[in-house]
Amino acid sequence: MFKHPDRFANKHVRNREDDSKPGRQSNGKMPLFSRLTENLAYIKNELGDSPDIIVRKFEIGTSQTAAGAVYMDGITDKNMVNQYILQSLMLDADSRHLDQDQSVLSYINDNALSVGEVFILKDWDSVILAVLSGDTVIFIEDTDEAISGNTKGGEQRTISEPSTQVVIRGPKDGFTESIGTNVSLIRRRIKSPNVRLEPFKIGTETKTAVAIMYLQGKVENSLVQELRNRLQHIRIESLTGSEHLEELIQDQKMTPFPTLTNTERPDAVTNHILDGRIVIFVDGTPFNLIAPITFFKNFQSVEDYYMRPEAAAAIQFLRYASLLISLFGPSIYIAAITFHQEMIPTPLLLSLAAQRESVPFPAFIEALMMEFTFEILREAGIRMPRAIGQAVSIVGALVLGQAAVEAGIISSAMVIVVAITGISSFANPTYSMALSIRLIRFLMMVAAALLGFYGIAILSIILIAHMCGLTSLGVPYMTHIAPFVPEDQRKTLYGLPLTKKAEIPQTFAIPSENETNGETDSSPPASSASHTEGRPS
Amino acid sequence: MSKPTAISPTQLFAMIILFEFGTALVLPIGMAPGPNVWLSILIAMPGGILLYLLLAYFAKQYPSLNLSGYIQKIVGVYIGWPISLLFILIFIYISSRNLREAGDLLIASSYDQTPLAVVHAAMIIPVIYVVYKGVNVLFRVGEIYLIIMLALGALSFIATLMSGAIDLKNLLPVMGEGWIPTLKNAYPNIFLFPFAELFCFATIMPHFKQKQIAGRTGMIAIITSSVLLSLTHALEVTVVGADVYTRATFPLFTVISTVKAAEFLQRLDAIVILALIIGVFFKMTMYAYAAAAIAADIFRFAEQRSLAYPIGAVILLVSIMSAWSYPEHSTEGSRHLLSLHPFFMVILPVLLLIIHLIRKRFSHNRPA
Amino acid sequence: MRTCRSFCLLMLLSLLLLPGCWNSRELSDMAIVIGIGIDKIPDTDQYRVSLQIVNPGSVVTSKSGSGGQNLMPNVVYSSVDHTVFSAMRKSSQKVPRRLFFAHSQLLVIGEALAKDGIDDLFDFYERSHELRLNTSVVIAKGTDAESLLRVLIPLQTTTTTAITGRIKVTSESWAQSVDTTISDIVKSLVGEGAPVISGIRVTGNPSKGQKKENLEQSTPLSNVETKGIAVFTDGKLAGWLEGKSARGAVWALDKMKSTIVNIDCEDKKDAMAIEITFSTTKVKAHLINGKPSFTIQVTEEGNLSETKCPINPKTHEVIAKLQQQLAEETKKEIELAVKAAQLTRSDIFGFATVIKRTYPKDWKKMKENWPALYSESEVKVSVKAYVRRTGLRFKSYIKPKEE
Repeated sequence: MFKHPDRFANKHVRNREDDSKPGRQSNGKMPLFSRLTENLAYIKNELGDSPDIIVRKFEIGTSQTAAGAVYMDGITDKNMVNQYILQSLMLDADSRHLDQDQSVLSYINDNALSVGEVFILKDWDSVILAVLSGDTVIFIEDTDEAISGNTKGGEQRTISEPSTQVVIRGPKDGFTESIGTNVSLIRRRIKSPNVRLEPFKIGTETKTAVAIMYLQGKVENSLVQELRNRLQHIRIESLTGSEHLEELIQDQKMTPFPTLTNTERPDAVTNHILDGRIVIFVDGTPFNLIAPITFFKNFQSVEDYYMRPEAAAAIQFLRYASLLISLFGPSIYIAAITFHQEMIPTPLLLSLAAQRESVPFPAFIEALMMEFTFEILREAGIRMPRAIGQAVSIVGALVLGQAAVEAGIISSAMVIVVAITGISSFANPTYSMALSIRLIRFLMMVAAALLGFYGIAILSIILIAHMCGLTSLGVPYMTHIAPFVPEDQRKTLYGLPLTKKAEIPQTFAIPSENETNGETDSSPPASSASHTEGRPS
Repeated sequence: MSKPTAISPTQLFAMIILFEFGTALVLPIGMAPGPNVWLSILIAMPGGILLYLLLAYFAKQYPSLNLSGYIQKIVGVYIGWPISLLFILIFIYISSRNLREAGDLLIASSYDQTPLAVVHAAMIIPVIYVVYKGVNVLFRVGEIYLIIMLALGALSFIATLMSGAIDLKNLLPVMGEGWIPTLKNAYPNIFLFPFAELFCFATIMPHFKQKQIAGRTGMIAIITSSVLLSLTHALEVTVVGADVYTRATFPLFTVISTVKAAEFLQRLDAIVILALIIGVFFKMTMYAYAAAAIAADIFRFAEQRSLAYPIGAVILLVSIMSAWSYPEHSTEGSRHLLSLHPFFMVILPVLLLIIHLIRKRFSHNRPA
Repeated sequence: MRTCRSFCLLMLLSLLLLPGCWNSRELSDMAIVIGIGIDKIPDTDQYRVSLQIVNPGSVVTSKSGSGGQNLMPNVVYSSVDHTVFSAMRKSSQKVPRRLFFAHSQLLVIGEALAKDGIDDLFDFYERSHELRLNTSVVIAKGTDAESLLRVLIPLQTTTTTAITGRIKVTSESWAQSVDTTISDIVKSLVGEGAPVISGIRVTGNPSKGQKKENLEQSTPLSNVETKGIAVFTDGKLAGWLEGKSARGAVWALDKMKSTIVNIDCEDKKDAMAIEITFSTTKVKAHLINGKPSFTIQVTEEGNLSETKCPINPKTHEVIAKLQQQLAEETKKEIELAVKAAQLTRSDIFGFATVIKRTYPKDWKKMKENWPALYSESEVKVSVKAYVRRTGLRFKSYIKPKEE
């Protein structure tokens, strides 16, 4: 896994070295000392003499060669350290086999150290990184190289049920904060040799391990290249979680819409990978990013895969309907009440007029107040202890609403509208999308209050134009509708797994740079399951 | 930052239909509206197809040039450049005419207290935004709105059917006055508006990748849109009768307001207003984009997007200042329809074709 | 360029925001006009327009708090001016709120105004975007529109809803009235036909009917009921069709939905009731020697609903006889209607349109002389009637009288 910097030595992440602090040598690699005591003193000093650094001096086997093991308490597996490093070096190493020509180091490497992953380290950067990652580094007297063994361990959260995206029927394991565990959960599910994993380290201080995983052959190579470029060009001090990373690599800055999605569920990730998308694992958070996604993907949850296709299709339409309600609900009400009263059937209009007799505020202010209160209640409900949180927020909203109606501050129709809108917004499976819709809803209300339905129509045009201009890793955000790809409608719009045809969406390709090849088909034949062509859009 | 732009056939199809719908769906078309307009539309369709094929031919001949590009190539820079400039002006003018129509009708039908400037300003904002974003976004938005338009159309059609207001007898007598008025209405009136207006698509053809099926796609789109238009106008006549249809300024609105199917499906005016807004938006944006494209070309602007704001502002101003009242605007429209419009949209293209063919013939003869 | 862009955007947006919202109206600021009545001021050119405004609070049945029982369901205001629209706006001097017409469902025309001519009344309705073209129209018979609107009706919210409800129901179940809308009237005024409008009259004591006490009685002191169909010539009220001739007119207009026709038994008159369930009428025009003649073909179906005679409808002859009687009765009524219409020279059945459709060239010649031609044209009526069902019984329980 992602422990040793030497592993990256042959890869393209070499420009990490620019992150080095001033004061070190130009290429940031300082060689080790030869003397054991110097090494041990240096490393203790570098790590600030921290009490959780353990330095164990010993002699290797019977040879009386002095050695020292440095490891960090808490992130190493003590058993491993004791048994496989210390025991194997102290007790089981038989220095009789020590050839005069063979250095102690290579002897340990080849014969004595019974640990799976070992690296030979030549500079301090990699030594310190190794110790901080949970490996044990072994220094040997009179050797200016060190050897590290993988002893990562320590307390970590066990694999448990994901807290946010819960399904009724489906696997119940969720990601944890350890990137290794997370990758393993996916490996267990896709036992294909085509699964590719590419590691990165982002953040000069945090050196957070980030990895991308994709299915070679299904994914569009240009997308991977694009993502690789973006990850490599990140220059920040610290990376705190996947939301931060999302912000750093997303296509557009000024948009309320999420262009990458995140998930806590390995089965969702598996489906995404099999669809030809790329997963970005971030160490330290169970939420992993998926790219590229379209607008419509935000309305599919992994639960759709565990239902019957017909039911899933119906629920999908329900989600779109709830999107429309939560986006346009209050604005249509405001527009109808203040501008277009002729559209309301007469009995309803009379009833509404009777209600509004006693209300002092104009409809827009009333709507704004109610929506605002609802948002506050919702936020408060999140912070409250789980046992009482939900009950209080819902009851609070309804009771507040009822009391406000009786006091004559708002009309009951408004309470109904706001309640339906609020509940519809919960039907959205993607939390970040729901957040964006909440924001846009307020804009819509303003547009409705200014110009009625005309305002709503104009704002919708602007909104749709904005969404059409968004891209996710270069893939147009509104793909499958605009540009319209008939073959993909069923799979991606409804999100149903096609059990009959193992097809992937044909549309994930950024526009091809070369326009001379004007013969590229815009709707490639359905049978090209292995390699999608670049789709000009 | 010029992203590669490409338009797919579906997008072109959607855009042509929306463009044709534009204002023709909701407003009276043809100079002499009467109960036979629906027939005239169908009769005018072949002319529109021919003009479009001309356009597609040019697109194939000069695949990477837009209208101003190949005008200058065909007739030379000294004549071509001023002509392209004139095209910019006429596109802006037509765009502002559409805006004015939409604005006036919105005010007449629902927003009677709102000042014209406000209604127009509200419409210009998305136009500027979309022209700024570029042709890709414009066409994608077109695809989405085609679906919405068709859904709206289906809804109102079903509501009208259900209300039982359709009286097919109102269509009779078909051509009571004989063939001639119907034909006269078709050519030149309906041919010019809405069919000949398609010529502004010449500016976006360079972005359309599959030039060989440009002709076919456009043809299908024109046929579809004219059938739908004809159906709509015929529907209007059957519901309100020939007389009201002839006198109405906004016939589709009048039709929908009489529809009462089941106790709650009444006053579906919002649908028609929405259809008007969407149609006009696409027409305006297409013209504004065409103007911006030509302007960027002949004035050598690197970034076409930056022209969106000034062109939008000009369209807004022209639309407010162009006429004092709606009937005046309408009369001016008929004058324009018979003079400027045919010149730029029909005569010029045909002349260009002739000159182009002549040049080709000569250049073939030369190597020999 | 950046700042220019934001500047332009700001200017555009401020156009929207600065002056405020123009078309927005709060519901509590609106006076919802539900019915309109137009009368003529005698000997002048002016109209008296009455607006019936509904009180929403009284309409609402349940509700926490505001009980609707003690409130008046509607109020009528009227003003006088030369044009309809200005008279309406003038009422704003009396009405505490902004008038809102989009929900007006009824137009009542006073009989005096109808006699004077209605053809220039409807331009406002056509041009306005608030008023609906499918508003029902009635003529106030024997009274003026304002008094009609002032009558309070129990069990209904407003007079307007009462009248519109009545018109709708009775035109479909008793068929001696028609539900005419403004678009129908305009169509016939523009064409060569003449409109027909139902009449409403006030029974009982109208002045008492305008008071609250009317609502508190089980038998109201005053009520409105539909009566007759008004026939117009040249836009002026020319006469009334009532009773059987009204029903005949409904038949001829192809508006018959259902009614009860009483036919004779062998010895008793009007002893059996047939309920019409379906009826369709076709009008055909023929030109005989340049003169128009028309055929009205009616096809209808009915059920035997009540009989006072002991008949046994199981036999074919009995049914055939019933059908024949039904057809005769229908034919009689239609002929009555046609005669009355021809007498007043008003082409209410749309014969002109039929001629225009079938003989467009000859129509041009006949156009100016149409009223005369119409009243002299021959109209043949042929009825095909079918009795389909007899309810839940075949034979009646009534025993035949033993002699």
